[in-house]
Amino acid sequence: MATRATDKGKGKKASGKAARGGRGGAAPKGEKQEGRESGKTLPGGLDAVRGFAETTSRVVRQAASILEEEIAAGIVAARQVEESLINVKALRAANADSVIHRFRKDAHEVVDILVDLIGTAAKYAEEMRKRAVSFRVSGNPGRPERQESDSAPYLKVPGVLKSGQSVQVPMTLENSGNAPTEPMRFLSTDLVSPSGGIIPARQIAFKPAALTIQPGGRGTVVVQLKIPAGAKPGLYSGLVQSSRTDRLRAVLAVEVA
Amino acid sequence: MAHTSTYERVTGALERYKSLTMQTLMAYLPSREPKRYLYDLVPSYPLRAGKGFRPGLCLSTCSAFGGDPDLALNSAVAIEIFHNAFLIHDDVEDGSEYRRGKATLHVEHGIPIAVNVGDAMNVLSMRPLMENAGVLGPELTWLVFTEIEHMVRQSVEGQALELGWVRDNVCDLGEEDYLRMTLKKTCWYTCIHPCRIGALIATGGAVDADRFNRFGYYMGAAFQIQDDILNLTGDRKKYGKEIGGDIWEGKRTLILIHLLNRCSATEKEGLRRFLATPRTERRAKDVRWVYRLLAKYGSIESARRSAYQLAGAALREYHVAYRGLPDSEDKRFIENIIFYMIERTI
Repeated sequence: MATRATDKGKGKKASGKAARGGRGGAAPKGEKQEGRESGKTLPGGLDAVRGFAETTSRVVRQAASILEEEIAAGIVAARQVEESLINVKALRAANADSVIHRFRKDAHEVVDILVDLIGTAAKYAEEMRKRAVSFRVSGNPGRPERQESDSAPYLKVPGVLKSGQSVQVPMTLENSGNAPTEPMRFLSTDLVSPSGGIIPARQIAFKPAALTIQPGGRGTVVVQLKIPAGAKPGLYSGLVQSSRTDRLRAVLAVEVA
Repeated sequence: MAHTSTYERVTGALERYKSLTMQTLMAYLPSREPKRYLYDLVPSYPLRAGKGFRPGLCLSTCSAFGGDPDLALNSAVAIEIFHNAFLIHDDVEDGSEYRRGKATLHVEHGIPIAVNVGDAMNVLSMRPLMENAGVLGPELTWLVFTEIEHMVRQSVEGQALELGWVRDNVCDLGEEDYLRMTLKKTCWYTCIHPCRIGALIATGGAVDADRFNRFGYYMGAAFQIQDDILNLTGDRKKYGKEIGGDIWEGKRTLILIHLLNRCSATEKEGLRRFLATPRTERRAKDVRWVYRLLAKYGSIESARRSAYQLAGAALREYHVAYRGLPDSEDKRFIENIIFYMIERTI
């Protein structure tokens, strides 16, 4: 096919000696260098790209993992939260579902906490979970059911972790009241799996240790989780709770391979 | 009848998108004093033979999603101005001598003037984004602005990583470090956000822009790795930059990282000493030694394989990101640009 032949031809110019050291090293500054390597080990052109589309290589798996880590670290999610916060009044008035969870700190106080990112993170976790499943070369491709609690946000750690692996999940909180919060500390219960596996609470830490949010301001606490060596495979879950209010809590879940 | 190759179709389309972008871009440039030290220099990089990937991806994605590409022009122009501002500052930071076949701006006009021109271009990119308000309405304008803010922030963070690794002579990097740096430095602003913005404008903000993240990341990483390969093996006349510049500058490319992780302890110590030497004191014979090591350990070939693997993954994700859209010239262009990214010689 003429198009393919031309495509391939475009990729094969020059001897490639430089890259293999065949011209005595070279490339001193400003000196013209011979072209690309011969590409003998790689078929050129669109056919080669199509061929690689059928496989999932290590570099692609790494890239996928990094992208999801970056998103989970809040780079995209935080920006989306910013967007939702800009329209927060409209959201509250017209689209209650957009603000997934709202907690009143105390019946006698006016400090409300919006846990937008927990909702956002849950959404992303769900998305990433779907992607991770569809991305796996082997294993069960079934899609998990949505598991969002009605009473507390469902904070699912993206992907599937191995024993010994660590992960960080950010939560951003907003104080929509007109008084600063008292310093809040965060606690977690043990995470348990249906088969009886336990990830002790000491494996879960929060940074910063205490968080105070000014009126109208936001603060982020990062949940740091380390899967203990030898942890049994399964979906573990437990409760993350603020020390200052019993209604500021989220279900933390993590899947261990 | 002569057949037109995929490569030529892509370059032809890129030319058209670039021409469209440049017409609008030039209209945004002030024609007032100080011309000699500022405004006459602002078009210098944009007028050179750049490829125009970013506006091309933005406009074609807008069109593929059924939008009017004219509506995305301001955003494409803003991205292109930001890109050229980055290039001016990158060239200063890296001490590069050539850009797009000519002397870099700071070589021609000195570092202070060049840095200020880069600053000016960052400021000038604001205007087309502001003009979006009259074309796209306030909500979509704000949405695009948040995309741009994220894009620029990621780029400077990625650049900081790369510069920091060179400054501190970091030699214990892995493939994953490179992939993360490239995601931040290159992929968001070269591929992901141009596609996201084009589709957001086409759909009035209705599209889930995250559908482009993987596609853009894989394609952008393949693009960057190909750029790293061309930097070492390309034809300077086509590539437009000094060949081997990344070695002279000690850039932590995937190629160098592969070498650092595979060479012997003695060779690694030699590389560490070479990389610790200030650029101006590095010698051509040492650069040639690095080239020989790269050949010995197959580092360039390994990088090329990674570029193909990532391009393959991008092709797979293309079918996800652009699924359900009617066939169109713009949609085909986007598919073909994946191939172009890794086959290009410029």
